[in-house]
Amino acid sequence: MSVTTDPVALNQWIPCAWNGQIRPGATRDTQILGQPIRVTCAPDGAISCNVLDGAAGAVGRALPVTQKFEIIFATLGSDPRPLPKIHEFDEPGRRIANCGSVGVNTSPFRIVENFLDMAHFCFVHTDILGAVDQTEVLSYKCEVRPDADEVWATDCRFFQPAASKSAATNGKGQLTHYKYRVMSPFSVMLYKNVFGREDLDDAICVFIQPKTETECIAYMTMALVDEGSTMTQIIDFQQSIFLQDRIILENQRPALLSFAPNAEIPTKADLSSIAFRRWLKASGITFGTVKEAA
Amino acid sequence: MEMGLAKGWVPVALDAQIAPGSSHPVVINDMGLAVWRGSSGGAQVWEDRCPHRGMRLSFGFVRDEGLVCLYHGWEFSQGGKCRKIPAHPELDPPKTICTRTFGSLSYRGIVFASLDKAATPDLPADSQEEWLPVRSVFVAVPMDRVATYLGAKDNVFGAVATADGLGCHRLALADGAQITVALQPVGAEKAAVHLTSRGADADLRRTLARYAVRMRRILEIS
Amino acid sequence: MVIRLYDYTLSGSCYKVRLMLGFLGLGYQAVPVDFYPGREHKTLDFLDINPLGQLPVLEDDGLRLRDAQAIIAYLANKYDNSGQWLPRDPDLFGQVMMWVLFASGELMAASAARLHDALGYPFDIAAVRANAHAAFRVLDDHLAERAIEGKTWIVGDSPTIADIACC
Repeated sequence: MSVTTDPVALNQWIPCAWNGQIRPGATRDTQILGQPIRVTCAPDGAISCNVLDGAAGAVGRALPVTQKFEIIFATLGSDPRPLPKIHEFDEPGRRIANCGSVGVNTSPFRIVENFLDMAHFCFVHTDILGAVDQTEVLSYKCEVRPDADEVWATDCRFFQPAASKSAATNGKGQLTHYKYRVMSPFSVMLYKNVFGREDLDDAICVFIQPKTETECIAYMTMALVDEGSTMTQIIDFQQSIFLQDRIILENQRPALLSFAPNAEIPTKADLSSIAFRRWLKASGITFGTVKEAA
Repeated sequence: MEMGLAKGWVPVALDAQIAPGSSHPVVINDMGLAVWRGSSGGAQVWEDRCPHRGMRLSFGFVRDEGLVCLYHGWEFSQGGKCRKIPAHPELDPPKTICTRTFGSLSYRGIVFASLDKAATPDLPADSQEEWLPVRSVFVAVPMDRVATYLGAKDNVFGAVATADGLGCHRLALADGAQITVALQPVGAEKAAVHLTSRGADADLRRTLARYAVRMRRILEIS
Repeated sequence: MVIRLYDYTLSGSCYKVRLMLGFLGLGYQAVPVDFYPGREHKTLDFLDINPLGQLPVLEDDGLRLRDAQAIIAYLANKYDNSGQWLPRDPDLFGQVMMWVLFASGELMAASAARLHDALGYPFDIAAVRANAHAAFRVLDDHLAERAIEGKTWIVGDSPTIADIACC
């Protein structure tokens, strides 16, 4: 595809690499919103990003870059939506995990909705995040918080056999408490209370790099409370969960999200995705959506 | 030569391929279908798309004579109505929630689908049990080219295919065995060829399967 | 002395070994290796374990083996008393070896396609996919003939390491 002209999509910080992915002196060529780019790591570690123009891929103008949450972001816009505040990444004692990035062929919004959804735990993550005999999604709350212009789902609870790598070792399962937060059209996170300690939530984030409307790279970084597992075990657990979702994500039809009222049939369990679609539509974004006939 | 689309019925699979309790993806002219079968009875042909969030139903599993979507476990009974939404176990799903279903029938060991509500044709009293599966092959050429190839007398089977008026072609081999060939348009440049036979023992059927592969190679080289 | 397996959950090659261990009812200790994003399999310490820098690696009673196909053949040979998984009959043995080597050869294009699509490995994806499809066809054509014979498995009348290797 050619570069999008959608101003809402253009004015976002888009991930283009994870911290440490590019060795000093090396480059990484990729694509954001249809625009080929080159990310460069200078010998001293400084990161820069340029567009690649034309068929020959000539190095063109420099793009603003920033680094946060273990990820390198670039933007094609002149006034990008600010990156969210996630204080868990700055808290001392937290395990900061970078699970790398995984390619997924679907629109970014399918990825966000899958992340918001609890009703699939029993079927896609059987015996880990959900059990086949405990499928009910208890009612929860959902709102758009106007100060940050973010979608939040709270009071979410779900019975889980093995809610995290540490929880998996006790064998009994638990009622896990979740909060979900959509920080931007291309990013979503959840707060997961695994050990029942007040205000000590695991923060698990997905930042999405749309290469095109239907090809994305999903970056997953986390700020965890877990004290027992090794980083390798933590990463392994989250990657396994995500690869289970990926089979679903690449097989939803259509890949693009539709705002048409009868295109799909939500239920009460889908409160957060209903709110997300309404919020997306209000933002005016068209990238990644089914275009209505003129 | 007649194409394999007579009377609105399109072949989608060998009956033997759609084992009881299984579901499979099929594509007709770039449209995705889910072909599945309960523990017994005829194969069902549905749009390959759950009405909830668009997940392909061909990935689903068969349970209690219904098809269950892999994403959220929504269950659909034969006829397409949603009978269970696991996220809300006490809810009786509204009757409006259903999958898009198509007509299906079995003829000479091949499953056919009707996408346009075509009338069920009068099938001859062909004994279904006598037609044994050979195999299905997928060829990266338009369906017409396969039909032309089969209509020529130097094709790999050594017999000219004649249309039988019901959407299939028939080949009669010298030793009395008969082959039914049904052509399915998968996309503009891809076709499926489904073969069953009558009066051919296992050795001959294996030979016929090899001929089908040879035909695929011949058609794809040019 | 317990069997140790250097393992990565998402690796198809590691999966084959875990599957074989499961069918043989063998307990083992998994040693998770941070294949991605850590590239731990390319570190100096891991290259001491496997100079090819690949997973899986199996350790059993002082023996260390690399290569999923070699590992499953070793496990079947040592631990399968039924002789089903690695048949000794010369004809069956020859066929099993043919398909096991096919799995480590032509069929690996499928793994390469997954590494490209999921983890961004820089392969020529059109060529890789074409090779994977060609390999799948070879296997599918074989299984189509076997189905006519009333057979379910790649070789013989019961599952062998050929079925594990080609999965």
